[in-house]
Amino acid sequence: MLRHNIACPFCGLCCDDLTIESTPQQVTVVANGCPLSERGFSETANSGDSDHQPRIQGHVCSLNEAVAHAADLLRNAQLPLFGGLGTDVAGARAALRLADRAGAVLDHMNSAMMLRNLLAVQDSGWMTATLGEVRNRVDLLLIFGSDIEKHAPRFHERFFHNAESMFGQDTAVRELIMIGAQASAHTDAHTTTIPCPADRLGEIAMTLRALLQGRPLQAEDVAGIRVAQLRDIVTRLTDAHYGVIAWVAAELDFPHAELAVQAFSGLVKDLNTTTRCSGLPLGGNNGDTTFAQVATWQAGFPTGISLANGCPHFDPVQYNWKRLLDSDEADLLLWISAFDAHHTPPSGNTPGIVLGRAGMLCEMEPEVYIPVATPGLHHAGHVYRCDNVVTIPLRSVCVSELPGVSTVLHAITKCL
Amino acid sequence: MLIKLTAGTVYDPANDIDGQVRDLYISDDHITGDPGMGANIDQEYDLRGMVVMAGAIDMHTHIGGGKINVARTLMPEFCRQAPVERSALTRSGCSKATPSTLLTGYRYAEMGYTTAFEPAVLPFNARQAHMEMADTPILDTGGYAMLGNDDFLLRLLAEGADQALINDYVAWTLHATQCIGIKVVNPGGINAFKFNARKLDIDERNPYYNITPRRIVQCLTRALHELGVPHPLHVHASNLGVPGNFRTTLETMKAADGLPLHLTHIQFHSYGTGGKHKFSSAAAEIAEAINSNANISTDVGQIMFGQTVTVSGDTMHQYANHGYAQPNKWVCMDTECDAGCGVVPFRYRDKNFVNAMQWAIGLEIFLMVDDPWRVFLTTDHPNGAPFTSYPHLIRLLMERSFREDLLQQIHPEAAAHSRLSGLTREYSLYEMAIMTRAGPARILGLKDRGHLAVGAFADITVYEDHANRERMFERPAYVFKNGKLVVRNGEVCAVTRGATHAVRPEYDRGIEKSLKTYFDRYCSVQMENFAISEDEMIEGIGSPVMTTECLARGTA
Repeated sequence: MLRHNIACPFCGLCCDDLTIESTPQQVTVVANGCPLSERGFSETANSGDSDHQPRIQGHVCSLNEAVAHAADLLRNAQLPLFGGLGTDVAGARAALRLADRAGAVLDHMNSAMMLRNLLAVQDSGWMTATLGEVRNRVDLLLIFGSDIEKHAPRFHERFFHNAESMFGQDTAVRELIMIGAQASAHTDAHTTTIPCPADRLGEIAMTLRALLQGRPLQAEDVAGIRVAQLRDIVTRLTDAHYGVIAWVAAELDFPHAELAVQAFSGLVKDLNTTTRCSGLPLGGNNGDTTFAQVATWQAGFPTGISLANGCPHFDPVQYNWKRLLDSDEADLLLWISAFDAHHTPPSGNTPGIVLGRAGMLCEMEPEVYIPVATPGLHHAGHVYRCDNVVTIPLRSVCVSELPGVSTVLHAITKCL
Repeated sequence: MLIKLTAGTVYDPANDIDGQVRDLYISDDHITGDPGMGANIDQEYDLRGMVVMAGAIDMHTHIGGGKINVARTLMPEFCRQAPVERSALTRSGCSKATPSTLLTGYRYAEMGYTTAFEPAVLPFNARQAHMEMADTPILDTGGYAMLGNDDFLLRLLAEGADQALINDYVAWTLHATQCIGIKVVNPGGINAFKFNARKLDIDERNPYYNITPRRIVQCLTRALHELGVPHPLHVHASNLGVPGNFRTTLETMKAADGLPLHLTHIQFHSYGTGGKHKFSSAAAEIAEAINSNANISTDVGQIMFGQTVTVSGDTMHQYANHGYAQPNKWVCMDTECDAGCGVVPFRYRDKNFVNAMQWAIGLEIFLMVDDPWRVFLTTDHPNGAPFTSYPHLIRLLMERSFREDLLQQIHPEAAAHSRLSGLTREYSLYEMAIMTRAGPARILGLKDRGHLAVGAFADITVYEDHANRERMFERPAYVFKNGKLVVRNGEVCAVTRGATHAVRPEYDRGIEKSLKTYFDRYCSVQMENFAISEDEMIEGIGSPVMTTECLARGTA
């Protein structure tokens, strides 16, 4: 059966124009796919019925037994940690409810990346645009980083080289400047690429700010880029009617990358003194933006939240999931990854309850394993786009007996 | 379940009941008539000496949609400063200016509120607004969808489209977003800011569409009237916060051409340019205009002194005011060629001349607008102050001597410039019941809320008749929501879930063809995924819809 206007939850763009063909055996992206959606939709877990059965210590059991055992483990844990959290709005709501009851810590598997943006916002705010705004307005796109298509495969097709814009702009002449590690030095009529190590991108942004503000600079080059070339970029940004400065937090993999995001955001704010310019945080997956949104409205904070003392407490360092596991401070891990069977819980000493996309192969057999349905494939749901604004409705495209994350978590909550 | 509320002193303005001792009966979720002698009363509450009103309705409070979540993200210190523990009954969360959704529901209920409306639903993200409101327990909720900065409408106006087509688009938007009203924020101005305009007065033309804010207000006002949508156009006028903006506000009233129009948070739009600070109160001019134009209603957007955070779709003016951000951090977002979002933290200070004037201007408007059916009690939560300051505001309006005391504490020049000390009016309980119950219900078209007649939903608040009205209104003795006791002695004793109020005007579905083409060409979301279905409201979002009837077309 062919189904149109299907949304894909497998990257932060959440494209909702896919055509999907589904048979009882196979789901295929027929139109408007990309490597991430093709993998996400087609990867089925049909290696046998056992994939669809919950297990306790490796032994197949009923869902009720798995739920009851999970509740027992939670009841007896001193500091349960909810990690992974790769789920949709309903799953995030259920996780927060259960965590509140169980006195758990919640930290999304992508928290390190998420915090690069979130700490910058908490400290100074930002000016951003949503994807639909960018699609119709951008005339100059500056990307800090160079590998965005890996994280957002259809970005250029849908939001930069889209066929037409609302305002009669010739989208073919939009200008692109890319500064990043994978970029080779290159210039043509509309594209400039400049190599630069990722951990020096913040420095470049600060230099651009200094030049924009007319501050004297003694250096002749910064991170290998001539100041004259940076001065030219400043001119192009100020001449643009609607510049967009984009980055992928996942690419900024160096200590205190939030300072780089803060520098990008500061540059955007400065440019708005005379013209218009917006930031665009790209990337995101496994429901990270979704979890941050729901956690923020229910618990006040996006991730790195402890409910152990009865009320929300935020500390991105103390409640980092990896740290809590490495230090054995958490004595129980509840790991959720409903979108991606490859995101398995880290192996270690901490006993685990795993709600995994069917087909997940954990390195160590967890105490409780419950295969769950994938939102947007097996059941309807909602996810957030990486622009933090638009919520996309997911549809069910194939029939499954598997329970959704929220169903399982609500059942556990009832047993507590 | 039959409940008897015995011998309370009832204030029910919709039914002309002004402080009469009455018995009320609740049958399940409704108010019912006297069942007669011998009826089996399951529970009786002795309300002798207590004040009984319908559950309060907040018709303008930012409790859902992306903006508050952006504010929460920007201001983690609020949550740090005011964490709230879970109980056997309630979830944990945090309080302060941007409480978590769960706390929002509990706190509103604990003040006797049973319904609240989010006034700025971004159509492209109506889902989030409804999801957050679905996670706001006890309260019934609803939203006003923002139009008037969206490309589709401005394009229609620029092309000189028929009013009928505009009506269809407005109706389609209400259906697709599951909203109960339409709001316009800085008409055309948010859009103009995206073309780098920094101001747009009511008769200035949008740089791209060549359309004036006046035209936008006219066409939307007329659309809602012709569609029979009960709530008139909800207008956040041009020039928010700009000294001298009262003239724009008066012109905006005229743009309605005598049709119903609601001017929201009018305190922020009632500024003159008098005095040595070039900032003065124009509350008298504004109140006079409201008094003499029966088609105009307003809510005040009172400010209170202290720390809060301002959230608005009006990016043009939020950007302009970012220099006042305290602490110094702020967010502006351009959203989907549809609207915007600006978040700027503010600390209003009583010793600051402008802030003190703002405080006085709000109160002046409350006290100078004669008809309580056309002025509503709001702080534009959290923009003027958090909603939790309502009991304090009620005391200011009901007790002149309290007002006078506080007037002595504000910036002396502001106190001297204000007419406040000459205003002797004290609101009565009856007027307060109009302003917070009967009035909002009427202007939203809610026939079975905001009053206590037989057949109404049993949303009922019972207060101790305390001389200190702040204490009285901050801790009701009992609150019933749909007939269930949810608050006792000012504390939540049962947690229920509310519904979403929406309106569904008829329209010609032919417009969906041109919208489909438009979405395919320009938008980042498919039209089929933009619209929210009734099933989705129940299943995924978690709040079933209650439909408010439209009036006969052209009579709103």
